[in-house]
Amino acid sequence: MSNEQAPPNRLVIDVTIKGGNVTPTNEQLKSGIKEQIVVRVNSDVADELHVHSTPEHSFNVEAKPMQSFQFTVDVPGKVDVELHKLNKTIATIQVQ
Amino acid sequence: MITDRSVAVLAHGLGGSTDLPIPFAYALIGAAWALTFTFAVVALTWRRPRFDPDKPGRPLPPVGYHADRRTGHPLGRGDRGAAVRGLGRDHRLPRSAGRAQPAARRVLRAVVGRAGGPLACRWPGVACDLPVRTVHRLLGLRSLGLRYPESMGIGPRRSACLPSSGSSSPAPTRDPLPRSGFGYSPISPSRWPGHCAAAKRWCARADPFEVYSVVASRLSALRRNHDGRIAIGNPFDHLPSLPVRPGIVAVLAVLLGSTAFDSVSATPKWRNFVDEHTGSIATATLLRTAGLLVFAGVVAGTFWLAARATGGVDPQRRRELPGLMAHSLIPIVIGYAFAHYLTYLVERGQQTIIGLLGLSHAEVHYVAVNASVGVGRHQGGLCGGRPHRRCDRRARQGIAVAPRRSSADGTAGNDAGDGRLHVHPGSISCSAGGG
Repeated sequence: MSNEQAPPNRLVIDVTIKGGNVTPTNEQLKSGIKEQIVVRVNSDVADELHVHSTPEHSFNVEAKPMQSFQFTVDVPGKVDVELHKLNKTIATIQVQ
Repeated sequence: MITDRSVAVLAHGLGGSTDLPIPFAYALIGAAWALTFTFAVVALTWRRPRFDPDKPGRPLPPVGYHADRRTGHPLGRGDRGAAVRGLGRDHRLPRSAGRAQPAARRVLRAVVGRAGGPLACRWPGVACDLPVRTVHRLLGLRSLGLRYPESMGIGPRRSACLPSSGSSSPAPTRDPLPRSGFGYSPISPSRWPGHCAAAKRWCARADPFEVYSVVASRLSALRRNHDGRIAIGNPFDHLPSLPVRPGIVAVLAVLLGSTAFDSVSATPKWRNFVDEHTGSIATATLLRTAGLLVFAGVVAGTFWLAARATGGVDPQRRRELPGLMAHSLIPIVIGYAFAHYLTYLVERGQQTIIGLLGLSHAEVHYVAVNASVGVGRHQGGLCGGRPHRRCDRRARQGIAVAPRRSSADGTAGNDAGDGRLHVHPGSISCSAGGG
């Protein structure tokens, strides 16, 4: 029996940027099409979060804890989530 | 839906999602089929060369011929393969390069002329090589008239095509180095000195996009018959007309190796490896560039060794064999590029057309290109490349003039052996990278 009250599936990525180091990096994740993907960032530096989906998303990361960015991906494929200024790939999400 | 924000991101790199990984089983089955099929074909039915670059194609209605004549395409030039010269190649001819032509007609000719072949591969050429020549001409610049030394072959291209072919590969993330984009724009200083010094040959031999276009044009179904008429025919007949110049093996190896590296560099293993061993963006880029060089080097090395392993030829011929057989890599290069970048062609192609025509209401249709299509393209390229044996025709010619040749039977045996050998390395590295 399905639970109507259950929250929709969503993928949460917790990211910490501290002293130029990013955790996690090069993570392999999976998600469904049009599923919520949330990136929660604790950062001590301003940066840009790029989501290389189709179409692309870009979020401004500020130097503060508990920021949350949310997006969905409508086109199946491998989506890279990157920090632009630090040049690090946080995760590659397989959306299908 | 394209938001303003996403456009801003697109503006500084080739973004978007990439294809889903091909399931291992698909890749394995595809590779097994390609190997079995081509070995069976080569061993059982391919006893003698079947592709002949001198074979005339089926002439098209004469419209194209006359239109082309008016623009002064030089016919009957002496160098080998003139009769089967593809349309895509005509703009690299020295004489047409020195002639003032309106830029618009030039663009049109290039687009129309190249439309017969793999568009994905030609598009960069159309988009990027024309402005250099055109701008040069529009500004009324003169070249210094220096001779481009024959011995340089297509040498400069070897190093130059590294950043272009894997434009995003050496960069740490998906946002390419600003440099690599700039290096290939028409206003780039790197493309100008050679052009100004020896305009005529520089474009044809050293301009990355033109050399790529020439390679891709060998797989075009369109060509020119002996009488100069534009004709359509089997693309494989046309392959051996690839001009053999110093550096051709290296060029093809880079084209193949860089595509393979493009997939490998996106794997988390490789990314972690780079992150662990490097501290800054500069060193990361250096390490990635080294990886790219290794991939190209492996392709070139295995191909070179296998080509030289042919039996029954004299030392002189043996030295020439890698170059003479290089064209057999073209279908693999093109098939491989298609397998990897088909999604880009379909989706960015739509975006480009919508942007060009200003269709504000049109929407891009995103197609999930099936992995099996990718595998199919890939294997198609392999199958196309492997049994392609005009190379052994060349080897055979060499054997015929060799002072101490073996018996006729022995020669045929060697031929069959080399037919397998010479394409094999390419496909091995190809499959390795594709999986």
